[in-house]
Amino acid sequence: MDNPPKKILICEDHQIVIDGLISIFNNQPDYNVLDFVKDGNKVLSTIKAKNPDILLLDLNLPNKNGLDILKDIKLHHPQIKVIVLTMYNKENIVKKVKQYNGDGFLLKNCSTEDLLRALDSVCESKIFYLGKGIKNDVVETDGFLEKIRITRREKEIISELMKGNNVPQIAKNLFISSHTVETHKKNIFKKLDIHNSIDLIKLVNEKQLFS
Amino acid sequence: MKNNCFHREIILVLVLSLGCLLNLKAQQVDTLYIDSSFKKANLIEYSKINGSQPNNKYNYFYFSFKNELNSIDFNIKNLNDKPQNLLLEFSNALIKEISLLKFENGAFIEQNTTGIDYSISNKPIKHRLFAFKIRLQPLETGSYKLNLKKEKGKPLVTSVLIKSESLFNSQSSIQLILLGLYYGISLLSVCFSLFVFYILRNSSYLIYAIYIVFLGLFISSYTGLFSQLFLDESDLFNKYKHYVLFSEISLLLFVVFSQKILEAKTYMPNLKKVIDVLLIILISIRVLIHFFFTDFFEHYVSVFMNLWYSVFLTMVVLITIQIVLYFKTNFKRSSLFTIAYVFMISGVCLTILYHGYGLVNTIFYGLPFIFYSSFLEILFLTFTVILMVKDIYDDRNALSKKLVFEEKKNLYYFIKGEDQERKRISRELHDNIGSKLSYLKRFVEDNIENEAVNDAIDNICNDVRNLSHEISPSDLKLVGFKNAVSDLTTNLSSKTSLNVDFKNYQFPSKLSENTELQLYRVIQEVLNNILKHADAQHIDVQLIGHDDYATLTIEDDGRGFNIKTQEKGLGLKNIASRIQQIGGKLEIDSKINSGTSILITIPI
Repeated sequence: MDNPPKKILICEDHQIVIDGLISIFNNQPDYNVLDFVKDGNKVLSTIKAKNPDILLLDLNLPNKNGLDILKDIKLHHPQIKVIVLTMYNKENIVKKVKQYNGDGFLLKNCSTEDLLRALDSVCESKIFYLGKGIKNDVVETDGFLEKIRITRREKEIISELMKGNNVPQIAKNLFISSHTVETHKKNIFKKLDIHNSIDLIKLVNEKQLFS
Repeated sequence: MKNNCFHREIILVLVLSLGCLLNLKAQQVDTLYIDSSFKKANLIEYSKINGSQPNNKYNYFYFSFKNELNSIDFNIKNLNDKPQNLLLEFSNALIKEISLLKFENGAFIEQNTTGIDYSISNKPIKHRLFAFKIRLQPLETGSYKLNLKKEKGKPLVTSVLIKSESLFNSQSSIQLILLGLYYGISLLSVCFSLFVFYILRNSSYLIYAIYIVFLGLFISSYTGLFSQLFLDESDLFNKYKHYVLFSEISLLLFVVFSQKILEAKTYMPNLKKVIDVLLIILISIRVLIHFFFTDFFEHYVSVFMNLWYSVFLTMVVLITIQIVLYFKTNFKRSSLFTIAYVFMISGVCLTILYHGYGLVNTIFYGLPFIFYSSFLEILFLTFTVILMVKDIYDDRNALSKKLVFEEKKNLYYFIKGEDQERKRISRELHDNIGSKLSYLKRFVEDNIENEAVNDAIDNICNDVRNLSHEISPSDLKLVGFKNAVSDLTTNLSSKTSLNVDFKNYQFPSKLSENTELQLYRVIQEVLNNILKHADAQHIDVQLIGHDDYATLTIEDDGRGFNIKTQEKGLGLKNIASRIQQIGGKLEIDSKINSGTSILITIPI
């Protein structure tokens, strides 16, 4: 081996996991475990003191959120490779780790093989390493791309509005409070991106909302 | 005629004042002249009493403790050329015996005799008071004599008025209306206090009701109503004795009731003991005098009555002290009771002065002062009772408000504790057990290499993760609120036959951690409720962001419920408390068989 072994810092608060990781790396000449940190607040100071090459980061550390730690590390020490090691198998968390320039994402129950492959991968390339079996098809649920869905109560209110009834009349007809009707009405307008009842009548007639 | 009458009066006044000035002994008693405009006259101005001139400065007859038989002589001349019907009315309804005699053919001939020892049918006319008809022929001058017999050893006071028939009738009906009003108010007060007694089961109100009843009986016997209405032909029961009995029972009840109102047992137990003793002395004196040792006491009536009056006065002073002391405890009640008390005491004292010593006139418009004063007394006592009831209800309201507040507070801490505990367990499951399982898995993988064990551990890992998430969304910040809600609805859809549709329209991302957690738990709770009770097929969960507020809508097509009759379960209270905690507004709108719509608005 020409290169010196890579120095690893484990950020993890469960001793059993730490022990498991250390036992894995004991047999690996390419990697050397420098130390471990259990407290989220002490990660940055330990990095300064020990100067590691790679960080294995748990997202659920006491005192400081893993994502915030990742953000700070990449801000102050962009050269350090960070692999997130977590229990969460969630698309949007993966997305966030990518967004904060993390280098890899592994599940805690990954195999030793997967772990070593991830380490090799992040050291050699800049490609984000995604562990086996992790969902990555992020579904964006926000915004108006979503199909508009009108609830049953909202449909009742729309048909009352179409009859030209005002809020107090609708409240009386549907046996609900004026405030409830008003809120439903505003929700409908917001969903349909319109501002008054005339727009609503136009829209319903054009798009045949109820058909 | 009128002029004549006027002149006559002036002359009379002049003669009288002149007589007073010169202290003339030979005062001549006038004859009463009756013309067509005559309304009424006080007999005492025209009478000789026991054969001599009256030197009575009052406008009523007073016969003191000593003498038993008294006579009054008077002359009446009819100036009219028509016959005149007049009525002679006694204000005292409790005279032992009265005879009216007329001078005819050189001798006094008895016309009528009546009194409380005679039955009602002996009354010359049907009237609550004793009254005689006097008929005068045109230009006739009649000479009359009244013989009055009084109870042995007791003083007798009465005014005697001569009235024209029309005035007598109109005044009688006005008096009856006043009496009717009195008994109407009494009846209302009795009904009210009995009702309150029925509701509150506090003996004070029952005592008050009985007091009003006996006060009413006392007034009725004092004004002559009682004997007219109830004691028609009965001679078994002395009509003077029932008057004494009613007055004593009223006094007893009043004192007992006053002790209850002033809470004497709690605040001034020693004063109460003294008052109790005085009360027993008072009642025994009166009862002994009138019911048992009549003959013995007859000789010393004045002594015993004076003793009675002084004990009574002492008790009045003691109760006054109690009232003053009670001002500190309950100002409003004390003030109202003071007014009632002043009316009661003034009525009784004036009546004593009138009947015992003949010092003041207490008859106004044909009714005694004690009638008016007890009327006002009942009015103010009833106000006091109403105030007492109001006090009790105010106390109860304050208590129930406090209970509601306590309940809310308890629920808040209950929820907070539950959340903390859930968070702890969830974290323990997720981090600790999860991590250990991961280690186990890798260990098995590297050392045992058994596919089946590996898969089994993976399964357990997943279960633990899901369970942890269900118990508490400790990772809301990591996962994101909207994603967590999305996961929740997706999970429910896949696990059950429910079709849960989640939509998000620009729901804000910058809500506080607590708000997001509470909203998430609310959604969990609502979905749980729908799953358990609603029997729904479809659920809509929608998050919508507006400029300065956001809404969460959860609608199902289940069986719904009646909001008004449905008792709020812990689930609903839990939801309401969480929403209140984050300053939101919860609106639930549900109808039987047409689903439930829950609308939550939170400020941003």
